[in-house]
Amino acid sequence: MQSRDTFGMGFRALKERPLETGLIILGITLASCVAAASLLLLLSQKAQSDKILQGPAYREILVSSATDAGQSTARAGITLIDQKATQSFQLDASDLPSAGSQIPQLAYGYRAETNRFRVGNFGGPGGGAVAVRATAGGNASASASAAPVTAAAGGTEGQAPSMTVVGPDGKATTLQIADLPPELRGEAVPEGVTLLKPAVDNFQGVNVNPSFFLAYGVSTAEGSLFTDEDAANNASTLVLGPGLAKTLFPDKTTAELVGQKVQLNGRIWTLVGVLEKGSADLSLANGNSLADLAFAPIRQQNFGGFAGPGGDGGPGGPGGGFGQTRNLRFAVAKVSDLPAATVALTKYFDDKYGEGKVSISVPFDKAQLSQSGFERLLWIIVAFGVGTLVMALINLMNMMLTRALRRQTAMGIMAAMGADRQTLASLQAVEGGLMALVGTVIGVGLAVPLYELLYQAGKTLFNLQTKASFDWAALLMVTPALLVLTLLLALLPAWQTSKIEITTALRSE
Amino acid sequence: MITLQGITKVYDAGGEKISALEGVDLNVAKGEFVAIMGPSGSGKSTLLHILGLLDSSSGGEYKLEDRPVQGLSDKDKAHLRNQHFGFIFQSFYLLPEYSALENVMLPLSLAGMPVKERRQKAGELLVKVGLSHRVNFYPSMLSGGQQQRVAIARALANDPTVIFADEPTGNLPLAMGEEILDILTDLHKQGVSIVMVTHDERLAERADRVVRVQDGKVISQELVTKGPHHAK
Repeated sequence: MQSRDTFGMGFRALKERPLETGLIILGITLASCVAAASLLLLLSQKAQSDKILQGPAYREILVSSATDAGQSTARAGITLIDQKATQSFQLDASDLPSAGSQIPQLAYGYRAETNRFRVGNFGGPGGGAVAVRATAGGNASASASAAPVTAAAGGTEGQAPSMTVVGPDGKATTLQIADLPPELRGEAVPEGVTLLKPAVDNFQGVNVNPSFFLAYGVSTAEGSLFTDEDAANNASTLVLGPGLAKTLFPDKTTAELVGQKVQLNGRIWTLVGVLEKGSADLSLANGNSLADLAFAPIRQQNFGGFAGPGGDGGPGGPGGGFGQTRNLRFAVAKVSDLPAATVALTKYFDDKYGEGKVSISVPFDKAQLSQSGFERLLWIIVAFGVGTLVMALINLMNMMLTRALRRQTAMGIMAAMGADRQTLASLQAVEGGLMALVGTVIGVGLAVPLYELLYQAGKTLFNLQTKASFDWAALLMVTPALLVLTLLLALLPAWQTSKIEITTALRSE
Repeated sequence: MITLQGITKVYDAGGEKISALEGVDLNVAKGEFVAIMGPSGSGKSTLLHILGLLDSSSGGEYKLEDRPVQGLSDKDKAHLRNQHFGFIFQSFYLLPEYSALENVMLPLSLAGMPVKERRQKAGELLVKVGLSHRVNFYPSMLSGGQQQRVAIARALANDPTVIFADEPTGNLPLAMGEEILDILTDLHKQGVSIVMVTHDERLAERADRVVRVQDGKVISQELVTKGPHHAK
């Protein structure tokens, strides 16, 4: 019998009972969709998380003063800190080179503190508000309420911006810009200097030591990175990630940006470099891509001499600046060094400051815990998906057996006419195989959007930082595996039912 | 052409052995019309099934054109059925979801004949059995006699050397049964061997030889004196 005839007869048998056929295909579609999506997610997630956890952000060890453990760094604008409050326990930035020289597993030491850059003279061109927290009287718990500050637009002279500061006694004081200390006033634009105007009002940045770039193994595509000297001299130098550079200055090439000036947080900065495109593959432990960040040297005084979080000071040396600080970051060369380095760092800081004075956290451990939690959920979903698929396939097998029983007489007739077992099996196989094929292909197709839904759910539930990129290689693995499984279970009853006693089959009518 | 020697057939009915045939010896010559007669349960249909390779014997020897068939594979037996035998059953056994033409085309498809040729040949066979006007009719739209004509056309599809007919007129009114028998008689005249199971003495008169079976044994074989029916 020609294969075209076999296919034609099998296809014809498929159309005989459209409702039954449709239900079987629907069952296989749904089951293979869930199974494929969960398998894809598991494989993709595993590959991505393994890759990401090997990244520089997860080779970091974060050392914080215990009183600050769990507190977030000020993210927007200025934070006025009560001087007595800052007298609480602080780390010494000189611990960076000191610990680095004593602990062989440590490859880098640096500081990295997130910062929000606002365009223009304080509030930016749009006059956006800046939160100000005033803490008075040396009592940290008596911090005053935040007061909005309306600032003059960058370069807009003649306006008189003011801010209201409410003290612990409830008394509000309105200050004009002129009343502020010089370091809180916007820096005047020198004559002959033209400022670039970014396309957005504010953006995310990080204040880092130059050794941060060494730890992340990133360099510039244009210009240069800032140096320890820049950090020590409180230089207003800025390095942009390539993505952020494009966002801020869509009409400029990276080469055109180098050497240009921009006013941010009231200060005039020089763009000294733009990171290479490969920085898009690197991210901080919080998930921010280096490509979308701005980098400024960690300075002695933020905002023109106003003390930033934890203060800072002293000239920078290899591995970081000196002075008081709340956070220090160390990095190891490879993830396997993390446990030993963590133990050694704990001992170092306990010996120096006393037990419990510092908090040491390892982003890798937290990320791994989060990833493994998500992976456990994925395994449950995979088990559910595969279980559903197996049930659907068992149903398919039952349906195929029932169909074959209904066709016993027809099979007996065909056998009497000269059909051998292989031909009879082929006819059944075409029928079952087509249902399995159609169901699986549609199911795998629907698995792609379901994958995205599951990923988003996992990201929300487990705070994953990995990117939602679809793993096509995983799809290439999953699709044939599911096809083989469904076809095998569809063909099995075909072979079984093809073994007939002709006379019995003819009498079965 | 067909030689059976000491053929036995034993069924296992839940541990109990039931003997359907007990040492049957039978020859069917080329171009011969043999009628197998006997009461119900005598084993005549079992004998026909073994002759047509629809069933296998428990013992004895079956030779087709002097070649033993017992050792043949399922595939080889299927090929023999397709190329050398044609079957006509009491219940017609047409595929209900296929038209008359498609039913006749079935053995040709199994033989691997190209679509165009098989369509043409099936059409010619339906014309031959007087169903040129029912080519695309489905079995449910045909009378019993017409269905049996389709079955005969199907049996003739691959130009068989032997046609096995199991009570071919059993489900038909007398007049239609006569028509079917006329067709079989014509085929016999054209040189096709026919082995027909019947318990109707009148039909058996058309045969060259009547083989009587009882309790699984051939109890007699008698040549038929040709009467007026045969001259028809």
